[in-house]
Amino acid sequence: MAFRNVSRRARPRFLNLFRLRYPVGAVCSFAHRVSGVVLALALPALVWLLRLSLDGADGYQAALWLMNSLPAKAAALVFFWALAHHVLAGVRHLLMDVERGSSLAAARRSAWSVNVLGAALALLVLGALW
Amino acid sequence: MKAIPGALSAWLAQRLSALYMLLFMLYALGAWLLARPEGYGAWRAWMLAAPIRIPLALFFAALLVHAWVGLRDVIFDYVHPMALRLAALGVVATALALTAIGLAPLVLAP
Amino acid sequence: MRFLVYRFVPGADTRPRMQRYDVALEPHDRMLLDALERIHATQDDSLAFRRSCREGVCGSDGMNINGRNGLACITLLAGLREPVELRPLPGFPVVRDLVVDMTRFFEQYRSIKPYVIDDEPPPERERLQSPEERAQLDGLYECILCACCSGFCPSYWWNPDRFLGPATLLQALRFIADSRDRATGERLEQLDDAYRLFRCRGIMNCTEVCPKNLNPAHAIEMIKLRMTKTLV
Repeated sequence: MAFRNVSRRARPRFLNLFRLRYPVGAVCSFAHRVSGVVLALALPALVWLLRLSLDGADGYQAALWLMNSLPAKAAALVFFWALAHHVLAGVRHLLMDVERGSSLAAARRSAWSVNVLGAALALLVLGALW
Repeated sequence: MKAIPGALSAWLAQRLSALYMLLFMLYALGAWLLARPEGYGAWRAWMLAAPIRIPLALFFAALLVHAWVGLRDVIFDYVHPMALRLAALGVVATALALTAIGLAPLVLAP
Repeated sequence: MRFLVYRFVPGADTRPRMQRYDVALEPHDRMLLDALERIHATQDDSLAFRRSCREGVCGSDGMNINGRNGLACITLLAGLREPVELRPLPGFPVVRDLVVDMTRFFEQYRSIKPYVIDDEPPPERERLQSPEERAQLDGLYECILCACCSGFCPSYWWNPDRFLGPATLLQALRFIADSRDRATGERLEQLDDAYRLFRCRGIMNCTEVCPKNLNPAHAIEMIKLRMTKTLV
């Protein structure tokens, strides 16, 4: 028996993530995680910016000037997408926690809506700010 | 293997902090749209007035709790060697503590 | 019809490979399992896969079909994109070809004590359950433990040794929700763990692939809800 000679350690596992087809909910969930990490990384910069804006009139002007710079706008696009997606996907989870939209059909619809609305809201906010 | 109790509390803290942050963001957005503080003086006065400052302090507390549970979950999922995991958790805890120190003057200032 | 099948024969292969099969199907070959048996009978009897009832009841032939988990016996050949790519359940140790090692999966199932616990002396006749109480088990008892869901759950991929996975958690609720069971408190306590239950983050991949159309993600939410209710 060839089976017996092979130790358990020698057993391969198939887990090539590029060979799998993901449902829309998985995309929504993955983006929820990515956006959460983005928001966490942005947190120190935002705290610093907020403090700068409250630290005298010069600081306020400096903060305004920084926010209008091109790199800041690019960062803001990423940030607002992360915020919008994270909040919407979070609301989706909170509703599911209390058994609203837990059926597969409803969850698919809400995942689509969150994915699309998150991106749309980010563009909208950016358009409104500049 | 014994269960590590308190997992429910962490999960609940994540949900409750999320709910509070959601309500605060809607409230703050509404308040900002009504007041539209222009210029340094108005901005500072608006930010430091009690109706914003006190809920804001709570918001930051919720944010730190929420970030801790979320980042902890990410580490639990992907970082498996125990030494590396403890190091990662340590980095996150330190970063959040420093953020809290950075936030303190904002919410404590008169 | 063209198939690309994951092959790993211990002793012969040092690493997994994909093997191509072009099969002439018979008119009555309608399900994916029929095609696998056709390959086995006419081309390559070294190809290993599990099967038993061949009608979606025993749960033996769960596999990854064109990137999604499902049962070969109830997957229609019509509608499958070619080449049909077949791989073992993601994340599970491969014994040979499409056959995976389910040992840990069943250990986890056993760990939730999948039987009604009641130490009270039995009544004269059976332990009764009202139709309403019995209805609580609908959507839970039908699980056939094919592991399609657990094999498609990212949380289970990352922590298969500590997270119980959707199939086992659905079964956990099946006994938590049983009106005849007297161990609900202990069961919930046992699950209050950062890994066993709380690695689930509601991705819902489990529900997407369940061949019995059950909703393990919702079952897990129900467990959390029940746990929360014990606090108040």
